[in-house]
Amino acid sequence: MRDVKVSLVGYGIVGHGVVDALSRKKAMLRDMGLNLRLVSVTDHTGTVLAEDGVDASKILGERTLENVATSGMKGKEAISAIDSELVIEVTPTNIVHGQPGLGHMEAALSSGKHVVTSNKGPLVVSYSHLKKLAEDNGVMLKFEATVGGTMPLISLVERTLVGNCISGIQGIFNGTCNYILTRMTEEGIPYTHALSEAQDLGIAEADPSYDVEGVDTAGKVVILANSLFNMDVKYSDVDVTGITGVTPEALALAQRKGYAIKLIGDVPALTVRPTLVPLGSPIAVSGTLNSAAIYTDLSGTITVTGLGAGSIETASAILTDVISIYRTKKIDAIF
Amino acid sequence: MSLSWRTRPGRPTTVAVTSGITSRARRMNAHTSSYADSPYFDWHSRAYVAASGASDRVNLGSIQTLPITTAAGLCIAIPASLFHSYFTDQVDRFVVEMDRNKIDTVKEELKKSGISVVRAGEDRLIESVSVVLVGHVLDSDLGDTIDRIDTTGYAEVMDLSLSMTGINEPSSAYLKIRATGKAEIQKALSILREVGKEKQLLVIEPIEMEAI
Ligand SMILES: NC(=O)c1ccc[n+]([C@@H]2O[C@H](COP(=O)([O-])OP(=O)(O)OC[C@H]3O[C@@H](n4cnc5c(N)ncnc54)[C@H](OP(=O)(O)O)[C@@H]3O)[C@@H](O)[C@H]2O)c1
Repeated sequence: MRDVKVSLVGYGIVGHGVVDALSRKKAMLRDMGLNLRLVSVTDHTGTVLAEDGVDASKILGERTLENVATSGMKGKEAISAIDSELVIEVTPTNIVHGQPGLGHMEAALSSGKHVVTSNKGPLVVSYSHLKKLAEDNGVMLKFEATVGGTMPLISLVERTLVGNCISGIQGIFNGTCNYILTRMTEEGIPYTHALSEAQDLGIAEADPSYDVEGVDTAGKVVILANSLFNMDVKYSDVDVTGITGVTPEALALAQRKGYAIKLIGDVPALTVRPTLVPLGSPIAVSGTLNSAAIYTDLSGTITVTGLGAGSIETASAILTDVISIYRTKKIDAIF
Repeated sequence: MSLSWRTRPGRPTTVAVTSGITSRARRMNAHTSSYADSPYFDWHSRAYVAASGASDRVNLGSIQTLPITTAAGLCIAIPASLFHSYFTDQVDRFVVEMDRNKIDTVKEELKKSGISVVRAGEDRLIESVSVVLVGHVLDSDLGDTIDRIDTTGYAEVMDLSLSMTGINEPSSAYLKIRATGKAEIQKALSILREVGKEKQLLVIEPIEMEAI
């Protein structure tokens, strides 16, 4: 049995999903030979510490750790002080300076801890620096959940499609935009109506600009470009147009001519823009779904689709990354 | 109101013919107001000369087509002349398609009538691309937008549908552009992108699926 002490930093939507998923999968993981012990959970209010593993039932009902924290330790301090070998970093994304996640990841990697994250910010801002830090310290940095949520993409390319050359990836990487465009097409309603509907359903944020202006999708394009295409690009290298200018008339016109309008991110073109996608194309998915077409030399085009967000869904991508760190050493290595 | 007609399929040989002076820009702007309350306005910008009248069906609803019989005995269904009568305006240039072996005869006949043939005998416009424009498509001079493509010599707007909501509301246009090759399609798209920036139009291009 491999015993692994895990620290969780960030206890919001995804953080709750991670606690839930680790608890639900405990037995299955043990059967695989992996005993994941969540020894700490930290948010901006403090930390819950438990050497034998945090009791999920005691904290899942709490929105923050304010009433259950057993220590006042926060952020980098907690990461360095707590004895764990893997940090799950799920604090809010900031693609301008990457903080607080960037500091958290630097602290974890430089003290020899693996990092698994859903936080795009630090990867958009400092991918090569973080990657080098991980290599120098002999640990791994995994971030499947940053692009397409639960939809497998990075590991699919890096592992399953290994041996192929990938010439490009195009896809829908933002479920909020896809939902809005889908509703505008279905109901013929203007952008503002579809947006408020999405906000009422919790699909869009109160300040939706990050999603609808294409910023989020562009961040994902940067991550894919740097991690899968070895490009050294920044957010400003992406040509970004959001969906706010798309009208129901344009959607109807496009549909009459056999097209859907989708916000498509394109690597290595480094573009994010509303794009005509033929109706019936496997990437023209509806609702909050994400999709990606991967163009390969040997396997042709591989298309994937799945939920791009959600608490337990995003946590599932994180769990896959965590398991893969230990499987890499045990099962998949070339001897 | 909706206008449309079918054109001949396949890869016909084309001839570009010039006559008259008025730009399509004026023509477009001149009549758009009469459609302000119509949701869609389909407009195909090209005329075709058919070697035999059979395959070219012109269907314009209640609007009558004007078949013209030339000395060579060809039936010419020319929507351009229709625009002439319907919109009381003139056409400066149009492209016709016909069987290769008829070209020389037609060229001669046209020349005799004082019409100059700009280009003949090429297998042109074999690639096509769909684009949607959103914004003040009409107010920003749609005719000019189209002319920027049409005057390239390698690409032309073959199909146009408009969707208008109300005054000061953004309108949308669907354009089908044909060009002489893939590279020319890309050049036409980059012209449209530039025009889009200049006129603050959202240019929605089709996804370039890499077929491997
Ligand atoms: N939600 C999704 O479906 C989804 C999908 C894919 C990726 N992601 C990414 O995953 C990350 C987490 O998303 P989320 O939806 O869970 O966000 P969230 O609900 O806002 O949660 C963020 C958590 O981080 C905490 N936090 C903020 N600053 C901190 C600090 N300095 N130290 C420790 N904790 C801190 C927040 O506390 P307070 O709220 O009390 O400030 C909150 O608990 C984001 O980067 C997001 O972009 C989310």
